[in-house]
Amino acid sequence: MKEKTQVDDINSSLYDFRYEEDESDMFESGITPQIIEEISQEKGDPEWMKEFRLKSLEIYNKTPMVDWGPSIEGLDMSNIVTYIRPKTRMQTDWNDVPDDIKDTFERLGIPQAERESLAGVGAQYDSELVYHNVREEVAAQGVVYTDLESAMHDKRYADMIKEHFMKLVPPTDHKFAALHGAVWSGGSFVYVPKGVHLDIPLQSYFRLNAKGAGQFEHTLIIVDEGAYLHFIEGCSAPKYYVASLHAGCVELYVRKNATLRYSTIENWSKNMYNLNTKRAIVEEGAKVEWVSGSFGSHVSYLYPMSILHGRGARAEFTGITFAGEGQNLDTGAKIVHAAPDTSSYMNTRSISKSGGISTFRSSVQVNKNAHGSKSSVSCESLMLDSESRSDTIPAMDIRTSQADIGHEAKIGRISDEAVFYLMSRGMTEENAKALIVSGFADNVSKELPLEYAVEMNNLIRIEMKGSIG
Amino acid sequence: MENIKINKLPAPTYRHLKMNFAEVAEADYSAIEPEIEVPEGISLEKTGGALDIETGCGEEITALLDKLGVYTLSAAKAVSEPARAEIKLKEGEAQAVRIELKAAAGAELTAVEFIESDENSSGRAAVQTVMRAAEGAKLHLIQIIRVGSGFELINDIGADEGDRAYIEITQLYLGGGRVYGGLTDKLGGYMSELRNDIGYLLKNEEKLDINILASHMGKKSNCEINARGVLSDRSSKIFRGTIDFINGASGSKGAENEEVLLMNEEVVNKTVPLILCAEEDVEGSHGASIGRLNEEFIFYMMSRGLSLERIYEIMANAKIETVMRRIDDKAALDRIYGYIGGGSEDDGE
Amino acid sequence: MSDLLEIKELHAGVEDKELLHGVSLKIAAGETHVLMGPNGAGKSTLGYTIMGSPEYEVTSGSVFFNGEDITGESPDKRAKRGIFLSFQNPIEIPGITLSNFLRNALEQKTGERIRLWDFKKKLRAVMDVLQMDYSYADRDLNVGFSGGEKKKAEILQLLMLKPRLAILDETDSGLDVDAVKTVSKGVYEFQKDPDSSLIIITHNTKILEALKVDKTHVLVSGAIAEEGGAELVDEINQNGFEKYTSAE
Repeated sequence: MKEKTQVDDINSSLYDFRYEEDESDMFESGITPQIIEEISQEKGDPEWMKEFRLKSLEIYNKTPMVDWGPSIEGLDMSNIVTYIRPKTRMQTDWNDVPDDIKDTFERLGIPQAERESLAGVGAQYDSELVYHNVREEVAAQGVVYTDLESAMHDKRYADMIKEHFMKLVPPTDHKFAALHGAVWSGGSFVYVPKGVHLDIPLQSYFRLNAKGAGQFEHTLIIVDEGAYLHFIEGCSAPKYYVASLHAGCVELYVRKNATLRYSTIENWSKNMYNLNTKRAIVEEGAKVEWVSGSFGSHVSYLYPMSILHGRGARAEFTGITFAGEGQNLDTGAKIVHAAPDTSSYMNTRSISKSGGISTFRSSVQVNKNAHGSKSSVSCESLMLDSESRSDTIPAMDIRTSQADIGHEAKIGRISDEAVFYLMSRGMTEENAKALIVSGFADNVSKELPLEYAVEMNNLIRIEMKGSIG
Repeated sequence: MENIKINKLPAPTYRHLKMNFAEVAEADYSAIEPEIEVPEGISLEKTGGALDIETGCGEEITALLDKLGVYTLSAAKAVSEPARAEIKLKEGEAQAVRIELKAAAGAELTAVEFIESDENSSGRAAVQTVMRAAEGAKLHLIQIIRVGSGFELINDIGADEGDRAYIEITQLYLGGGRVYGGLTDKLGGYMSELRNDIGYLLKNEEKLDINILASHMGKKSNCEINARGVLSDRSSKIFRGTIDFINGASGSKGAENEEVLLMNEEVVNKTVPLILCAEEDVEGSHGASIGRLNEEFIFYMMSRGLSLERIYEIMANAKIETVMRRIDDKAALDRIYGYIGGGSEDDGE
Repeated sequence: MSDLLEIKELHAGVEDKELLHGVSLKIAAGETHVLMGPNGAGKSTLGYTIMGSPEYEVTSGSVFFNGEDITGESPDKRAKRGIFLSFQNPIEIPGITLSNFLRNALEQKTGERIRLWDFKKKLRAVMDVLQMDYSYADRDLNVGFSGGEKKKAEILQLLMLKPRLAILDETDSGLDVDAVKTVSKGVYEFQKDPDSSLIIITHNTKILEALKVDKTHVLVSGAIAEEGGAELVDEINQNGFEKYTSAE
């Protein structure tokens, strides 16, 4: 049967290949002011950034660990390498990227995707961007897409960076935001000028290759008035048996009447602690659309937040989380309605299997001034066996009567009837279940560009493989 | 004295939302005497000591009440006439009442608790009710709560159910400065069932803080939780409702539903509906609708000649009326009508 | 004598889209008008606009009732003047019984308290006409009602509230033959009062059989395409709307 062959063809260790790091490239593990100063020096930070890093470290040391959510006891910060010196300077031609790194990205299909369907690509390998390129016609429209370090040193953007960097997510936000402020490295800066409508997406791909390391990239995107951008973020890492940490930060400024779609397919290896912070501020008449697929990581805390700051601002969040063996994925979204006539829509699915724990966690806050606001939250969870766990923890805080707030949550299993139906048409039980799970996840796959939707369905098939006792 | 934490959310969430628990000052509670009237077939005795059961408000309040006496009402067979407990709270002192409701295998017991004080009085009180339904037993607790605007009231319930037992709890919160309601039901028995209906009308600066945990331990256990209410003036409410499917509770179903009508700009409404699940073969759901009435709805009612003001009035009462349908005790219904107005003319034919 | 309802050059729509492009109509007291037209012609929009639905915005033109301009009035005020709209999809109102709802509406209309016993007697008499089980009076309005039951409940409200002008929006759609008969009987009952006026929006001529029709309006693409007497209903029944839609 053709279907079956296809499943077999998928190499489940697709993301698992790795190249050895040269020990001398790694900074010492743990975090001390000395290490921060070394990173700062290595990167040639401006003075304000160096101070920012040191201040963040102070905050990090004073801030307690979270007291809710999955355990992060397995994460020993003194063992995490925060910075890995790159083997290469950032390139704008794939041919100039060192072979082993290039091969990594080739295998992930990045250069091919760039040729076929992207307006620009950035690739980060461990701590630094190794490749960044944007199509000429896109650059000609004034679109800036570069790594954050270059932008910080470019006098055209330096002020813009200083004005926006960690203003949405201040280091005081939580412990790992503080850590990020201290050791951040790499990431992208995107600026889309007023009225520019980018029809094809930009993509950044993050690859953490080194063992026992942390990746702390910072993504700063400003979509100016009336502009449109679709930004895609992909993440992966090979599996090691020591904990790795990803504490990135994404700050999105969506100006008046602009639209930003931010899509993520996260497939970190299952030794990763993914403590990522993403936040958008959405001005009058503007819209942010989050599309988020969480498949990898050992532990995840991930709740993209949208602050609806201008009248009529909108946020949409569409998410899928698939927690398999050894995974504890705590995901969801946060919305703050801080202006009148704002609206938010959240639609999430989560799947738990083979002892995996998936938690949907959200908050919707409607401030007193947010008259005429609407919010609708819908979350569905699927339990594939009784060794797994699926929790739903949504919170709502409503402070105006002039609002319509709706919430729906459902939890259940694959219906025996549906499996029987598909099997009666000749499908194996495994394929029937995989098909049903893919259908369950179609809220997200529908929102993704075709090639990513295909990749996501492949991930689901990989996860579903061997799920029949 | 120190503060104690009550109404803890079974799985805490973001700290800044301040929804994970409530805090009240510790107090030295002393027992007061309720007036309890029991029909034939129900025995009443005064017992004491720890009741060894989890409650919704939690162990910190239980620890303060454990030393006080308990009024135990037991039914050995089905009794349709309800028992009634008048709990009259007095100005000032930290007063408490503990009541235990027991239904033996196959027995049925209905109890009505009137928890009241003078309208403008202030004080502190705790009422703890423990419900134990043996195999095939039915227990129905009706609570009508209306205390003074200066009162702090903790209304705590713990329940346990045997095979095929059924517990129903109908609660009307009709007034009180700061009221904390808690319920934990261990649906321990096979096919055991819980139905909880809550109605509330909050006004002025009143605060209502609710924490419910339906813990599905038994296979094919069932729960339905409905909370309906209205927030006016500057009142605030937090509703924590948790359906917890314990591993092994296969075939269980739980549904939670909340409807909140917000009448004023100054109200604060918080809701955290949890579904915790460690069992594949279950069905859980939660739905909430919070805010104003929708436009289509208003247009329909207006097209029949009702003014906007009247529509809100009618819908506010409808929330309470819906809960009142779970009550067939006339004395209880009359008492509610006495508080919310209306009713008497609609009686009978 | 002036007309009961007069619509002058009415333009109305949703957001940026105009749905009615200058509709004019006059209905005298005691008259029954039929409003026909293909799907999407704006028939319901017209009905909703006469009732003052916030969903549609009147951009120009006006609606007069009994000689007074009511264009900007809220729906409850229009209802008190004596306008009634039966909904295609009546809203479900949990927590309020049909009986309670009607009593409230009647009391608001008259401004007087109605004695329960008098009310019940009247309600039951009307329910008899519509062959409705009395138990419906104590059920929450429209909650769990079937399509037919909802329509009957609308006619029940019509007969209880006794408006001067009733707009029946597809009251017969989706009903079986028996239910159409019952509903039509109710409408006939309403029409018995010589002062009662009616606008019947329909596809179906069955409901019209027992009723006297004074005038027929054909609405196509938001404008009146033709007007005539009762005979126009039969003509459209035979030929459909093709001649209005295809001859462009």
